[in-house]
Amino acid sequence: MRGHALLFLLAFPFFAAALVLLFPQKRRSLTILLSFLLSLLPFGAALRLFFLFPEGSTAPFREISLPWLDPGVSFHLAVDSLSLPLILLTTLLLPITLLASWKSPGEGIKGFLSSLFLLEGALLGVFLSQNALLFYLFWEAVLIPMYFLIGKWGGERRTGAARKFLLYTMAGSVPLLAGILWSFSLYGRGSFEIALWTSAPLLPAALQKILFLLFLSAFAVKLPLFPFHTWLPDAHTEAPTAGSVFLAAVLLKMGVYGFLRLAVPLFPEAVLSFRPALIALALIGVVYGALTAFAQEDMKRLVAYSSVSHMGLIFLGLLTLTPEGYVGGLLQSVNHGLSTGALFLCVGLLYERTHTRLQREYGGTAKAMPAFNLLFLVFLLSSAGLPGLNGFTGEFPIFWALFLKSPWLAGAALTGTVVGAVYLLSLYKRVMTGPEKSLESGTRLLDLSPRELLLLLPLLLLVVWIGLYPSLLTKKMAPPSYIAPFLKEYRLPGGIR
Amino acid sequence: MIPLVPALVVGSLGFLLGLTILFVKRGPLMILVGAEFALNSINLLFVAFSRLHKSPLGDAVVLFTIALAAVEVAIALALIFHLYRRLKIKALEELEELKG
Amino acid sequence: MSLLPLAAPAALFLSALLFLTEGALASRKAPSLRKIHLPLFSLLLLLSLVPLLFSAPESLFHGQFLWDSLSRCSGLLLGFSALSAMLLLPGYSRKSEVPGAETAALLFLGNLALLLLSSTTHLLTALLALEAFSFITVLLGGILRDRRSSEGAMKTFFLGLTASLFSLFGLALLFGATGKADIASLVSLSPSPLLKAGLLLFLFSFLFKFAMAPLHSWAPDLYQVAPAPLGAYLSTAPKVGIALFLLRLSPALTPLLPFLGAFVIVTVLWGNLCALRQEDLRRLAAYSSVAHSGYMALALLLPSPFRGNALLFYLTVYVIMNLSLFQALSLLPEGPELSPSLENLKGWGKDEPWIAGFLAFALLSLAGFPPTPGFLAKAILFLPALEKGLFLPVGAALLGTLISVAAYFRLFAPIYFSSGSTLKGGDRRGRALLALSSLLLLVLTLWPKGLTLLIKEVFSHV
Repeated sequence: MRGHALLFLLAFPFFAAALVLLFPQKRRSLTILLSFLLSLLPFGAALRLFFLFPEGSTAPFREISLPWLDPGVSFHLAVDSLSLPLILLTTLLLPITLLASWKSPGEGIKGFLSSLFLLEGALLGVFLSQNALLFYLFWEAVLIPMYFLIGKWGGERRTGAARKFLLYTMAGSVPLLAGILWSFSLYGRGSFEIALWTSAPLLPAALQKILFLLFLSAFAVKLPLFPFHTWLPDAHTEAPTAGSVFLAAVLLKMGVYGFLRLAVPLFPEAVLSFRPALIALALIGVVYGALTAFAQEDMKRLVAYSSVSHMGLIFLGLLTLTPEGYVGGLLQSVNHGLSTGALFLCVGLLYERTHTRLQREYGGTAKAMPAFNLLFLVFLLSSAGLPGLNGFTGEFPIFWALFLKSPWLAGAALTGTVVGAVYLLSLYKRVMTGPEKSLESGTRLLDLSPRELLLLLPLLLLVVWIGLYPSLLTKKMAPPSYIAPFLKEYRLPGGIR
Repeated sequence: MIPLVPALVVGSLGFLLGLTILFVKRGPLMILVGAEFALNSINLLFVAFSRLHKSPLGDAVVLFTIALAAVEVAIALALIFHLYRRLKIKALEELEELKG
Repeated sequence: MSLLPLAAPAALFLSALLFLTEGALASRKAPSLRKIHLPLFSLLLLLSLVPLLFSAPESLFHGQFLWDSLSRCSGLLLGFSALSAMLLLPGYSRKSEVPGAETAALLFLGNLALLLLSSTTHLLTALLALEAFSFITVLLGGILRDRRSSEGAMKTFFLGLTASLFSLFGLALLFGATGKADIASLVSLSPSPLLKAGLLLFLFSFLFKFAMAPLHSWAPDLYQVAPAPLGAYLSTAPKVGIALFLLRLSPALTPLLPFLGAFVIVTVLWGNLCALRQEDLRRLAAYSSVAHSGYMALALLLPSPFRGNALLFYLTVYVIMNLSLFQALSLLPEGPELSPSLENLKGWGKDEPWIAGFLAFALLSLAGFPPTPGFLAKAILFLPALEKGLFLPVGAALLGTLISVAAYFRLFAPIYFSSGSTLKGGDRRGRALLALSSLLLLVLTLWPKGLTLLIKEVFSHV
């Protein structure tokens, strides 16, 4: 069966997580190097899947289904055009974050590496599962390694942040479990197969609404949608660099994925009826996130709040339920993963040198670290949405979709991007330009080492590549067959498109 | 032959009275007396119902209950003695270490 | 009527007598556990299981006892629980204060009472078995005889006495209303108000011993003062006996389902909320077991084929994971004024990675995290409950689960996020036992179908 590639992709991280524990404790560099090499294997497998995936395909690819549990829980895996980019992103980030962890976690490096592999495995499980209960199982499994990454290897207030992260996500996912179990009985097919549910006739509108709210609570916390975002700044700030990267780049996308994979196809009428409220919340998130980010002194907090703003924009794009909004939202999900991940890595690199994340402690860093300067600037601009870099290619279709729906909406969302450009550039100005602060304190900042260059270069390459040639991804991102019927094209009056 | 209704009334009242003693009194011995009182009132009920239904089950229950009460008293007295002699505790209110 | 089914209770009883005699003959001065106790106990327990497992299903004493595969399950789970308690004792920090022979005798008698409870079809026998066990609870709980354990035993005794008075009164009402007291005739009768009231009062003692809120207040006190190995027994064995008896009684409980539902809601919420604010580990474990009683009682509200499946699955998983928890806790040192708190777990993750890992696994399972057996047990329970439309209890149970996650995860912070270990040496046997329980949990995680098939097999013979 050809689906064995998926089985390998899913099982290997768990295997590697166990294998890492056998590595020598004393020889830290060797352990990290070996796990780096191990982490390349799933990336290679994902890359191969990406190249084999037929362009414009809307069907599940490389399906594999093994019986597992009664009633109706099978180990059913598949890739489709929705999960493919996210899988690629997840597997790409693991080797990079492993390289980035060369110095940072002081002790218990094996547990740290093992947790990262477990996290990768659980995330891949979420994106690959075609069975609702299996999906939930991996959805929850993501929590545990992340909880330990924050709580054990995080910053000073790590225990509280880990607890908050756990409670918020659990508070979201318990209703999700209720929703999944209830859907099982409502669809009455004795199975948790998502494909069976999506092909069944739609539920009555009232039920759809209740179930949608149950499902949404999990996705809204992960996304995060405006009032449910308060766990995010704490978790991002306290997590170690690798944890922050995964949180921002992939964990938040679980919300996007869940919304598109389950909520839209199963409860389209509920989505439509709640859409105005959701749009309002997402819009508040865009503006509020941007304004709060502007006020942050801690660089990690700044990037974290910028995530709230960007994720709001992505969700806005998806909520238009248009092909443009869909492609823009999904592409921007990947872009946000790349650029925000890169920003967290950059902040982490600075922090390793100076042990502070406060902007006022920096200044004139560009002179001391010219190579870093260039990379940091590119990532900031990509996050700000400069044309020619990847951020623009995602934001543009989103704004186009919003504009077609309502120019006012597009205008309001645009303020978020404008403020975004302001705070990102002001971050650059305060940290990189001006008189060299590090000279005053007597420590000389070292520029990027080859290892650090190696971990940032792939991201740079992708940021530029997607910026110039987005079809690299978009040609394999056609809306899958379970979403396509619910995407409606808007046309401008007068037939202009 | 005792008529049914008075037996039931006396049994129920006795049960309530026993419970009242159980809840109101503080000394462990008096609580035990209350429990015994309630127990024997229930026995009265069983005997009455046994006559009503012409079934030996109620009488059997009474026999068992008496045995049960004996065990109960044995354990209770052992506990009370232990508390009183070794640990110098007389009223149940003095037991207050376990909370939460 | 063959005598083979009687062999198991008889073996349990004779073993208890043997140990009691040994305890009486041994010198007064050193009541502690001796080398001989452990192998003798294990041997006798295994011997008592043999006739239990190999006898054909049968109904004894004019149908008062049903000797079927459900009783067999009960015997196995009870045996596992008692054996675990006894094996943990040699590694227990205050073992010199625990009289070995008497403990062994009480464990045998406890298993006997609970085995009879789970096999009976007559309310009177059930009540007698339960009362017998409640005496054993008090004796085992207060076996250390210091001030605190006497207090716990005393409270449990008097509260239990009150509850059993209500039950007996309820039985009198039942008997008065119907003239019968066996389950089969209760099911066939149409419910009158007197019958309902009698049944509800009758249940009092069972719900009390099952530690359903608001009748649970004895449990934290008793678990806190009982030696941890015996805490393991007291928090699992009675649940087995009572749950299986309630399962047999459940056809007669139909008119009481709203009351039971209310009990479930209160229990799952209150138990987990209280667990959330405990510092003492054993009180925390006690409140967690209160909450789990609530989940198990939820199974009783289900329609017939699901009821037994869900209850037996949950019960088995609960016994294993709760034993794991107590096995880990019994590695911690105790004293007359000291019971282990969250502080004592500090640094386990670093110094005792395996023990910490096993404990973490049990905690995840107790919290119902997928894919642990604890999650599957809840899924198997909640699914038919939702289909039956029990939204309120299931909603409360889900909310309770959420709270319980917060409660159990409080243990992770000291275990993994801080350093400084208080665990020294510890007992090899206890560790091996913990490893065994974790292995069982792992097997159930990877191959839950095994247990579901087994349960199907059990109910095909009932």
